[in-house]
Amino acid sequence: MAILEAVGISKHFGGLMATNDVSFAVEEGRITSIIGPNGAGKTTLFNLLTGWYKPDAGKVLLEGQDISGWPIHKIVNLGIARSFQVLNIFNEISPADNIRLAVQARKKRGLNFFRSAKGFEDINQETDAVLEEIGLSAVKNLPTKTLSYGDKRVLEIGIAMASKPKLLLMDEPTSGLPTSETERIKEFIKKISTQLTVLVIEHDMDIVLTISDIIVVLHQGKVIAQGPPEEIKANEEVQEAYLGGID
Amino acid sequence: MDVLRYIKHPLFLTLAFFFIAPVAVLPLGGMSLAIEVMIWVVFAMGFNILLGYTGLPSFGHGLFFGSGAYLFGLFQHHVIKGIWIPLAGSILGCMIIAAVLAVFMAKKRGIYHALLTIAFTQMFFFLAFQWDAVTGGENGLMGIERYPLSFFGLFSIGIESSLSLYYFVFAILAVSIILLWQLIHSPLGTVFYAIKQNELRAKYLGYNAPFFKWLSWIISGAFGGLAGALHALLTHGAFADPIHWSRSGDVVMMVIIGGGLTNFFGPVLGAIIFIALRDIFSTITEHWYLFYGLLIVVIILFMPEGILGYLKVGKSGAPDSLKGSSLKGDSSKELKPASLGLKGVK
Amino acid sequence: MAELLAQLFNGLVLGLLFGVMALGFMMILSVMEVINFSHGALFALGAYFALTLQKFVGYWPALILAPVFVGLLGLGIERFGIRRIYGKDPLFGLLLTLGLAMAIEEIIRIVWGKTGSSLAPPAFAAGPINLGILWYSKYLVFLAVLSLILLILVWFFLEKTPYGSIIKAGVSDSEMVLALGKNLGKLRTLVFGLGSFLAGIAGVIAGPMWSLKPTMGTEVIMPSFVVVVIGGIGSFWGAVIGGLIVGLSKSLSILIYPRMSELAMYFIMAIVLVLRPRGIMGEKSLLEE
Repeated sequence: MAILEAVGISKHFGGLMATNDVSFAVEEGRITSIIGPNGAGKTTLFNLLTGWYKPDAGKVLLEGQDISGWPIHKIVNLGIARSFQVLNIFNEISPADNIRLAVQARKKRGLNFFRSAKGFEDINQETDAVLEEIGLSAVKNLPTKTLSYGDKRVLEIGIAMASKPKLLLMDEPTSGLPTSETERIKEFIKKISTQLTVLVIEHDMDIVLTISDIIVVLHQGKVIAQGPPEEIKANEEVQEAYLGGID
Repeated sequence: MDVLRYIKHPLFLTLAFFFIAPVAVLPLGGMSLAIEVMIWVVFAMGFNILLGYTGLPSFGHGLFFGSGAYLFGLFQHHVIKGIWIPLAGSILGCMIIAAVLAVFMAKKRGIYHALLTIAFTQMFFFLAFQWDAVTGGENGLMGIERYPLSFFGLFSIGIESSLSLYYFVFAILAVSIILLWQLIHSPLGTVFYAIKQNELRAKYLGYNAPFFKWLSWIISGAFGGLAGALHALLTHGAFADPIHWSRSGDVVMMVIIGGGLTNFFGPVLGAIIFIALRDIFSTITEHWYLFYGLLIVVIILFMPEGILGYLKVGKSGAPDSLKGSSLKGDSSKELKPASLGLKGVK
Repeated sequence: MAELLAQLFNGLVLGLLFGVMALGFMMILSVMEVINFSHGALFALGAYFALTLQKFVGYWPALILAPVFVGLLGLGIERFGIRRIYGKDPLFGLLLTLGLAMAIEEIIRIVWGKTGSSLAPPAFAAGPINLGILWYSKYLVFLAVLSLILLILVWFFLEKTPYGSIIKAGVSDSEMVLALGKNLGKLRTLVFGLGSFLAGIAGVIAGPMWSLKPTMGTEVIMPSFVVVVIGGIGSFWGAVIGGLIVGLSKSLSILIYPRMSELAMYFIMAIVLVLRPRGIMGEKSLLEE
C-alpha cells in the first residue's frame, strides 16, 4: 500500500522548473531513498510533499487522501515528520526541551496555559525515552549550542522521531558527519524502519545501496529512474547523470 | 521549604520592591510617577510576550494603550460609573482589536510586519485625533473618575487618593506578572518561544503557527489595553498621544534597555530606567529629545542586549525557568549575503 | 469645478513628490531590509540645508548641493550605524533610525530655531499661472516637473545602468547577491546614500510649498510607508502609482470630508491589504513566509 504518493507534481521558480512532473510512490514499511546530483531538486521535492511549497501542478496523496496545498502543520498532524539537511533545531532551549516540544505537539497540549510545561508526567516520560533512544540522555539539559555537531545532527532527527510519525522524511541525515558517525545513522535508519516508513534523501551511496528497498533517482527536477538497488545500479542513464557511475 | 530560595527569586523581589516603594516615594511626592512606572511595567511585560517571546517585531503597541484608555473612559461615560466593568471593557475591546489586526499580519515576514504595525497605529492615531465626537479629539477624553471599587455590592474600597490608587495598581501589577510568569512556563509559552526561535520547525512539529501568533497578539493586546485603562485612571483622561508612531518606540526601548529580549524581568528594569531618564532629561534640558534620540542610538549600537543581558544576570524567564539560555532571537534568520532575498529557498 | 480641478492637480503634484520620497525609502527597505525612520528627518534636513545654502550660492546650486550633503550624511549613517545591525531583528534598524530621526529633528531645532521658516522659490517659478480653466500656483507646476524629472532619472538609473540592475535584482535574486560577494557592503552603502539623497532633494523642492518647520519630516514619513504598502515593495511603478494614489486621496478627500483627509490613505491601504496583500505591483515571494 502506498503511504505517500506524488502524482505529476511540478514547481517552478521564476523561469526555472525545479520539479518537473514527478511521480512516485512510497510503500508502507519500506525504506525509499531519493538520490540525484546537486541541484536535482530533492529538497524541493520534500518541501512540496510536506506543504512548505505548494505544487503548481499535480497532487500529493497521503494514504489516499489529497493533501496538495495543505499547510505544513495540517500535513504533519496526519503522521508525517521531516528532518532537515541544514540543522533546524531550537537553539535557545535544551535538547530535552527540543524533544519535549515535539511530544507536546503530538499530544496536542500546545494550548495549555494552566500548568508548567515540564509538569506533565506522560510528556516527561516520553521525552526521556526518546532522548534515551537517540543517545542524548547525558546531555539533555545542557545548552544546545554547546553540543557537538554529531549530537546536534542526532537531535535534529530525534525531534522528528518524537512526533511518532507513520512516515519519516529525512533530508541527508548524514550531512557533514565523518564516516565514523554515518554508521550510527545507518543502523538507526535500519532500526526505525521496522516501526515506520522511511523516505530518505541521501548522498552516501554505501548507505543508499545497502538499506534501500526502492531508490528514486532525480535529475534536473525529473524522475529518471525508480526501482530496487540492483536495477538502479545497472541503469545507464543514472550512471550518466552521476558522471562516472555509481561505484 | 527553602525560604531563602524563594526570597531571592526575582518574582518575589520585584513584587516586594513595588510593595514597599511608597515608603520612600510618598514623602518625596513621587506617587504619580511611581504609579506610572507600574503601569508601564504592565504594558511592557505584556508587550514583551509579543516581541521577546514570540519574536513578532511590533512597533505600534501604543495603539492598545491608547485604545484601552479611550474604551475605559467611554465605558465610564456611557455604561456604568464604576471601575471593574470599564476595565473589563477596555481589555476585551483591545483583545478584539488585536484579533482583527493580527489577521492582517499573520503571514507577513519580519520587516513588513513591523511596517504594518506602524501604519495601523498611525491610522488609529488619526482616528482618535479626528473623531472628536467620541474621543474628544485634540483635547482628549476627559472626566474619567476614580470611582470606588465595589465588590459584589457588599463593600467598596476607595481609590481616590494616590496611595490607595497605588495599591490598586500594584494588585493588578502583581496579578499580571504572576499570570505572565505562568504563561511563559506553560506549554503555550513554550510554543510562542519555539515560534520565535524557528517558526518553520515549529510548524513541522505540528503547531499551527499563524494561530499561535494570533493568540500572542490577543494576549499582548489585552495587557496593553489594561495598562491604558489604568493610565486613564491615573490622569483622569484618555489621549491620542501614546498612539502616535513616534511614541511607539517608548515601550520597545523599555524592553530593550532593560534586557527584555534576554530576560523575563527586563521590562521591569527598563520601565523604571526609562521613566526615570525621561524625567531627568526633561528637567535639565529643553533639548531632551536630542539626548533621548542619541540614547536610543547608543543602546542599539553598543548594548542591544540591554542591561540585564549585559550583566548576564540570572538568565531567568526563558521557558527553562531559572536556568536556560538567552532569548536572542531567531539566529536562523541572520542575513548572510547569500540569504538576502528569497529566504529559505535553495 | 475649479475647486475640483485644483485639488486634482494638487493631488498629482503631491503624488509625484510622494513617489520620489517613497522610491528612496523603498530602495533602502528592499535592498537593506531596514525601515528607515530617519527618511523624514533627512527630507527636512534637505530643506534646511537649502535654506542656508541659498543665501550663499543661490537657488540652483543649493538645489543640488543640499541633497548631496544629505546623501553624504546618509553614507555616514550607513557606514557607522546601520552596518552594525545587519541581520539582527528588524526592530533594531527601526529603533536606530528612529533615534536618529529624533536627534536630527532636535538638532534642526537647535541650529535653525523652533519657529517655521520659509524657503523662497526661484523667481521664475513664483506667483500664479493661468492654466486656462483655473489659476494655479507656478511653483506647484515647477515642483511637478522637477519630481517627474527625478522619477525619470531614477527609472533610468534602475533600468539602464549596471548598478541599477543590481539593485533591482538584489532583492529577489540570491544568486546575484552571492556573486556580489563583498561588494554587497558597498551596494548597501550606495543605496542608503542614494535614498538619503532622494529624501534630501524632495525636501528642497517641497520646501517652498510647505513652510519649513523642524517637524516637517514626520509628516512625510508615514505617506512613504503607505505608498510602499499600497504600491508593493520592490517595484518602481508601484512607488509611482502608490504615490499618486496617496497624493490624490489626500487632496480629493479634502473636498468631501476635510477632517478625514489624513485617514484616506490608510483606508485605501487597508483595502489593498485585504484584496491584494502584496501591493498593487508587489512581488509575492518577497513578503510571505
